[in-house]
Amino acid sequence: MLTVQDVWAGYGPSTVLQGVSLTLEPGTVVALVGANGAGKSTVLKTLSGLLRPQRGRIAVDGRELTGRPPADWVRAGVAHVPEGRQVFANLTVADNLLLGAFSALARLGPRQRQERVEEVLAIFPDLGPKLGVLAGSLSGGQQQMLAIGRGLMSQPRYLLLDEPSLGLAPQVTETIFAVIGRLRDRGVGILLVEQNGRLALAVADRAHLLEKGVITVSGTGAELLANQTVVERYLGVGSPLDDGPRPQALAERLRRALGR
Amino acid sequence: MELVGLSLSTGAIYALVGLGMAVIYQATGVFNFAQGQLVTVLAYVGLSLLRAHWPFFAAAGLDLVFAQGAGMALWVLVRPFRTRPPLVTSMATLSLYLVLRDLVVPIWGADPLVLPAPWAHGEWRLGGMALSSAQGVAILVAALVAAGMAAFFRRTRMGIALRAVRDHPQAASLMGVDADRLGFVVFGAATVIGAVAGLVLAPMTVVAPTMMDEPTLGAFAALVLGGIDTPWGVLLGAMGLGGLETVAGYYLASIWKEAVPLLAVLAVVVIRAGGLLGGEEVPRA
Ligand SMILES: Nc1ncnc2c1ncn2[C@@H]1O[C@H](COP(=O)(O)OP(=O)(O)OP(=O)(O)O)[C@@H](O)[C@H]1O
Ligand SMILES: [Mg+2]
Repeated sequence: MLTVQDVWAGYGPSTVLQGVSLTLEPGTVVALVGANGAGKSTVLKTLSGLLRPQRGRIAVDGRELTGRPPADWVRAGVAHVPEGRQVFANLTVADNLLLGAFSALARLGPRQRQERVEEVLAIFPDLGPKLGVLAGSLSGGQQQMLAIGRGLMSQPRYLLLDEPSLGLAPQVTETIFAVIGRLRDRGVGILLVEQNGRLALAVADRAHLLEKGVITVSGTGAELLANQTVVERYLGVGSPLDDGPRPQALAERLRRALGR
Repeated sequence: MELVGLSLSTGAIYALVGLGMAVIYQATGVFNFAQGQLVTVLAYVGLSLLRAHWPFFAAAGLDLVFAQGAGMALWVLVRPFRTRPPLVTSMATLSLYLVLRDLVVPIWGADPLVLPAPWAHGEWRLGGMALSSAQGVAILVAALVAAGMAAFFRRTRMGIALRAVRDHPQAASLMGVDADRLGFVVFGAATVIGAVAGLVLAPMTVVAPTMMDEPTLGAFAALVLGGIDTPWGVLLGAMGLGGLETVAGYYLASIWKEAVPLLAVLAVVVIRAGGLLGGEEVPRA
């Protein structure tokens, strides 16, 4: 279990997160939703060692990792797929994947490396024919698959996904959500940050609304979808992204993709 | 026929100086203006060891170790600028250039000195071609260093990680890559290549405070001509430049010896901005 206890964090003197607590169990999807600038990405950064909390404790399977560098978090089984994909554009797809296992590379033989790559290709077959291609020349959807695949190369037990559906066509979003479902079924705990709150809430086991660095509402995904505060303050009425029959149909399909 | 040997060995020196700059550039985007002066200082250090009656290869070995240490120290100096734009760090290396330049004369004097390498006086014959063994060694060593560097950046875990850091430092650190630690490897390697350049160049000329002025200019031009982001590009650019310079110096009035190559560089860059082998960078996603 990944446990976050009363974490305060920010950039330089400014404090963004003000006492965030949450837990992520293996085999569950937890959604973290909130408006732009609420601090969602900042939460993920503290969970992967990119950002040192000012206060609070974070433990992975009982081991406290607060303040440790990112390498320690990867080794402890946490993979963070950052906002905006951040694939290594000038490296081949194969090298991008290889780097995903960087912290383990020294002790992996060529056979084991190959096995890990093949596991990822089984999840994202679209990447197979592209192994020798520079990652910068992939489409947006393929880059997102690569970003997630790269994260999976470290064989994480906890996967932090920052806006994986941003800018993707509905079919690609569906593919990604289907993968999220499969990983969850294999016992991976997934912390899902989404701009598109309805999508995330539709598939989440648990969900939290983050507002200005504070978690204001928590519950199951369905509870948040029905929650008056969440609807008023966050999902809004007539917000162009989230309303209308088509996005609702997509949410329905995603739920099915996840096996819900 | 001597022209071939002269072309290639001139090119080899440009390549060795240029490769030392290219290691750092490829890994960090920083242009190390001090590389040429580092080569000079390291040649003097090697020479001092020889004068203290060290056997040649022991002195050379110790010179490389010293270079490695100097490179690591350089990284400690440059590291605070790491998160700044590479141009800022490049400017910082310019001040190092000035410091090193003013260090040489007070310590070793201004007179040119001879570095007696065991291979300084032989001659090699390959087919119809004769070249001095000093030239031959320079050419071989330059090719080896280029090949080693290409393999490092393409094939090794650290080399690939370094290219990843350049693309996306934050994502690389999420993979567990510690850019800070790799900096020691990079700067160490660059100065070791610099020491090698000094040991290989010195037997062809002399050790002097300004010994690297011209080769450094040549290395700059070679980097632009061949493309700074591939070791083979650097080697090709350097050899091409060495050839042009030698041929121009042989057939034309001496002022053309330096002008022709630079004009050629400009011509190539107008046609291909990244140099002969340098690709245009794929913009980051
Ligand atoms: N590197 C940074 N340096 C300084 N301030 C930052 C940095 N990154 C984020 N912030 C600030 O922290 C706050 C929270 O940002 P964060 O990126 O966590 O929000 P978010 O919820 O992920 O937003 P979005 O939905 O736009 O991705 C914002 O006010 C932002 O301006
Ligand atoms: Mg964000």
